[in-house]
Amino acid sequence: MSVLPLPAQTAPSEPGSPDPVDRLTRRIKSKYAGRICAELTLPARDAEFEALPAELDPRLCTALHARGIGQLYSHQAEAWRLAQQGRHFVVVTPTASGKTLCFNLPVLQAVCRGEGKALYLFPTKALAQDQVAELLELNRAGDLGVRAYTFDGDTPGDARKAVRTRGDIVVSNPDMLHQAILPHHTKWAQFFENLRYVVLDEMHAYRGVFGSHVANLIRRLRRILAFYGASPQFVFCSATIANPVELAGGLLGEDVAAVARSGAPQGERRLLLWNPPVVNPDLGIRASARSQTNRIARLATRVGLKSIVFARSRLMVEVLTKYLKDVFDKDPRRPARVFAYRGGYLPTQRRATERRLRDGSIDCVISTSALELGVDIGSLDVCVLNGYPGSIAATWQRLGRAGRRNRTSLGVLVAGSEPLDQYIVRNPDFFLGASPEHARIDPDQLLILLDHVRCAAFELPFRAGEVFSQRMPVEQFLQYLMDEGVLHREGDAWHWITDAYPANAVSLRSVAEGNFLVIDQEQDGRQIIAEVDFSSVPETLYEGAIYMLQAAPYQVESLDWDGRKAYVRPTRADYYTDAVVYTRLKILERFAELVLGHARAAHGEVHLVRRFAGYKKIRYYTHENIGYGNINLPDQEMHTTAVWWEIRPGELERALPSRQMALDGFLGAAYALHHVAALQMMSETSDFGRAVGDGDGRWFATQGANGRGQMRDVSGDELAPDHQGVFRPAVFLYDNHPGGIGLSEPLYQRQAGVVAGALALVERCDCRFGCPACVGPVLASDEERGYSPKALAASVLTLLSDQATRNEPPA
Amino acid sequence: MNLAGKLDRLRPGAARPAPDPLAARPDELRRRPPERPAVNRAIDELARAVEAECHADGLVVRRTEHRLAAGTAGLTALPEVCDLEAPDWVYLDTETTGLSGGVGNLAFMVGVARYRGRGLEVRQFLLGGFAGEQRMLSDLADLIGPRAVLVSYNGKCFDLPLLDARSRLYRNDRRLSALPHLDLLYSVRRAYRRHWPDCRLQTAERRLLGLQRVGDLPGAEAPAAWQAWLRDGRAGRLVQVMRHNYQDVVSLALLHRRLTEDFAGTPRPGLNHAAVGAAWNAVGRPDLARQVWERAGGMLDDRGRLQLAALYRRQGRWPQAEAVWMDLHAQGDATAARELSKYYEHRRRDYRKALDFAVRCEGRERETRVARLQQKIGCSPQLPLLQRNPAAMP
Repeated sequence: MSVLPLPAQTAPSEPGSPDPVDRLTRRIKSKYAGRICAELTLPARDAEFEALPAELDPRLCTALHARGIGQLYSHQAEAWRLAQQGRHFVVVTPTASGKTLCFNLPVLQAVCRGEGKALYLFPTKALAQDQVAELLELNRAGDLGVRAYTFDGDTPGDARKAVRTRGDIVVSNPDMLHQAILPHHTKWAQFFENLRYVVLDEMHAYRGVFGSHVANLIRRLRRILAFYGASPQFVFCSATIANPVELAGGLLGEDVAAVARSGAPQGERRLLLWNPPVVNPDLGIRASARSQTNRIARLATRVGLKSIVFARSRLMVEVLTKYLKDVFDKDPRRPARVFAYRGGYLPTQRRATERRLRDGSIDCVISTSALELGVDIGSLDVCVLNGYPGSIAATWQRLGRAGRRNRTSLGVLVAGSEPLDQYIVRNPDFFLGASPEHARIDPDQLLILLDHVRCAAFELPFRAGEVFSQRMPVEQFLQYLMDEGVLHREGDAWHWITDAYPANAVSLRSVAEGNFLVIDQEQDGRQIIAEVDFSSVPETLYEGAIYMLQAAPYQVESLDWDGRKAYVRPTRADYYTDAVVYTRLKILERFAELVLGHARAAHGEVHLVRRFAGYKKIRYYTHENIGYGNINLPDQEMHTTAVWWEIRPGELERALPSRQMALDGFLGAAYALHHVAALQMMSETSDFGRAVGDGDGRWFATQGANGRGQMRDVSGDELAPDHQGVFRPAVFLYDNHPGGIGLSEPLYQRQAGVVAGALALVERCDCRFGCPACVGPVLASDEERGYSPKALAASVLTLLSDQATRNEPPA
Repeated sequence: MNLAGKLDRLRPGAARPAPDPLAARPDELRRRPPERPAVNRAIDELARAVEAECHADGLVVRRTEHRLAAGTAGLTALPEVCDLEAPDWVYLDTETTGLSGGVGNLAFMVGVARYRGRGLEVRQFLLGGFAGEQRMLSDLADLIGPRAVLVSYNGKCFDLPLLDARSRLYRNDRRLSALPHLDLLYSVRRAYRRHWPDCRLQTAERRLLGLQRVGDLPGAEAPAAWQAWLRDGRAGRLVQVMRHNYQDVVSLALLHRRLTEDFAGTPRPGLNHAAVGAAWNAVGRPDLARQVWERAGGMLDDRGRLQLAALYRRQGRWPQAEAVWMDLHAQGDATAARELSKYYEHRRRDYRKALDFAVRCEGRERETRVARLQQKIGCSPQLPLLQRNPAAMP
């Protein structure tokens, strides 16, 4: 990998090169030099082959030959060897490198020879169906007689028995395993007794909360398998992340081997980072990413290249498709060249589009993340990302959709106006040079663990001395559940005695408490359109809130807190709503502290109380504040972990003469830190929360109606900053899940990088006073207040970023 | 801080149940001592409370004779079991810790009844704890035996899968669900769903047997009764559960008898004679189907009458078939018109009359039928229908 500084001087091909992708790249670079922030070239790679394994079943050889496969790539051969040695392993190779054969070959071998069955788990239903289609093709080609079935929510009741009793390979997803298979494991006895392989594809999806649940799900699965005397091998497949072996090991609770070197050939790949031109420097407003994406896709299609465009919402897919169809599909007599692909289309439509992609009859496809994962769509020349997909792994996964084996391919990342997008294009070294992110899980998160101990106890009584988590003794949890009246202890066993089906109350995508359902009253009055995590409900689903779903606005009409439901109706509002949240935070315990040049960074346990004071209505594009509403919700309390920074007394006063300025500076810095932390930690911004206050819960800061920082006390009343005694503001980033899911500690480890990143984000922003891309929305009146919030945030971050540690004990 | 404290702190919204009276004691006293003597003593008390014998560790069994007016004659007169010869009927009902399915639910009480002498012999198993479950399941399977025909109420979907799942937990592969099984819920639904608000067993008891339970513990409270016994050794409400279960099993036998009368075609208001006859027809007993439909007389709905006419037609009883169709046709039934048109065209070869009926048909086939008949008659009166669709003209 090589990062080229701009302007890029290296021209890998001579002028008049016959390679059309190369020609297009040069044309874009010469015409739009000002918009291209960075360029990266990944060199071509030759194939490494190995002969088919000698012990491969002859029927499988026939099947492979029939599909044109006479030898294996080196990584497929390596996977085969590990499988034959009985090892658990993880395969990490790029998109379209023939990853599925790494697990299909050993599995089919075992099944053909009657040596056992296999369970495949995919994070989504659509992928499972693709997998079955591929298995069936191999099956037909070699006349293998293997029965592969999907088992998901769409599987009809009368077919389920056949799947359980006759399936050789069952393809399902974690939610089905959790809610339908394990709680009814006796029906699956025959399948489990003969289970030889468990395959988890798209492993990188299993991180954070979801990953922590899946790790526990695997504990439950292995517990049931042990009951049936089975101990299958686990095979994981993943897109590129920094720690695949660690993640696979964490999910399985055991060491796994790795297959990380791809033997698949790869043509040269170019990547351009593109920032739309600034159209309003005062407000930092840039031309839309949409217009730029449209332009690049048009250029590529005109010169006869096949391209794929990724958009972040379904609505954007439709908009871009319309624009491109208006150009290329004007003549209805000719076959269409431009297609859209997204969730919500009928499966048959999607399959047809996939087929057209594979046979090359589509010139441009516009998709949501639906095409990011392993759906086979053949190879394309150009990939345009309309906006940063939210994580580096997803970015590479999407870019990997363009890339031919023997030809150059081009990827263009078009930045939107969001902070993460702007950070990426302004700090190309971070994106291009940095290793991909770590995927983290915390299988021993107390609440998640408690949920799964509960589900496991339903599935099979716990026996004394049984180990569920290596780190946490399960008996304490059993005792807790016994006190709750859920379990009953008799002799050395804990039995389930309640009338409940615990898996129904546990969502694999949230921590405790259960999710809220969002119900559209317009559609038959009862259509569920979304599920929202408990912890984000008070901020997003209060009565009057505009709830955005796939960029379509809905207004919340009523919220049934106990029933966990929000009733909404589609609306045409030209504004969005932003909850005014007073977050009061108290430090309970300091786990570690670092004394820096002018500041201190620490991490520990905090208690926070969030009061939802009301909400602002903010008009789109102009960000004008056009009104207020009340929120009637109880205060939300949470215990979690956090990282915080405070500036040493004296230093703050020297750098920022007034307390008002300090408040504004801290609030802006918090905004930038929050976004950069999410980026560097491979998390969603909603995985973290931010707060500014004194750490004793005595006062906290919030942005007032005039856009200025305000100091408020415990009951939410405004305080005059200058009339307070001690003034020691701190900025907190907390793990936004009850109990924390292990995000704070690694954030603390990387705090220097996060502060430096936040400072770079603010300093390199093209706006004058601050904008949503750096320190948060700034009201027009800020120009008149005599100082710039942007400069204040930069001052605070500068103080935090002097990382020279001092030998001074904490005060 | 201990784990429970941490968990409580992390779950401020979680509703903890009202504290157990024992919870106030220090930790070491909170756990019920699991030693065997205590269990045995308790099980004796339980057995005394429910007037049963202590059968094994954690299991009591109660045996009762229940006098019945009628014997087993005629009990095979239901479509699902009409081919069986002298079946060994076993009525079965369970009380479970939960109603939502899944491995974690168990039957803490199972009642079975079998004909013996001039009545039923009822045997009820009751668990005093989990230790007795394995024994209960194997004794139950022995008692039922390999040649029994089970009779239950919703047992196909609930009781038997549950018992089988629990047997599997004890690595026992005997499957009660492999036995022939008459699920009376299906029969009741078939016969009465249209007129009843629900088809629960107690609804059937009330409406078909005229039974009204007095002082009965609602089935939904049974799990709590057993939990109370497990937690505090209070057996009081288990006596009521035992009575409830006893009544359920006996009701199964009475209901079985009563349903054979309904399925024999005794005309009754509220009974769906059409569906009952159709069930007989589906198992290859058209004679019984005809009997049900004919005896229903005026209580038979239009759907039933069409089925009856179709049966007449298949059996070559044309005059009866025609009479039914004419009746229906007089009420404006389009299907009857089609059947009559077919009858006059193919059977009587009276094309004009067939055409009269054909124009009263509905749907797409009307046009082709009319056109064909007009061709056969050899004239083409300008019906408005044909003007609309000249392509259909010959």
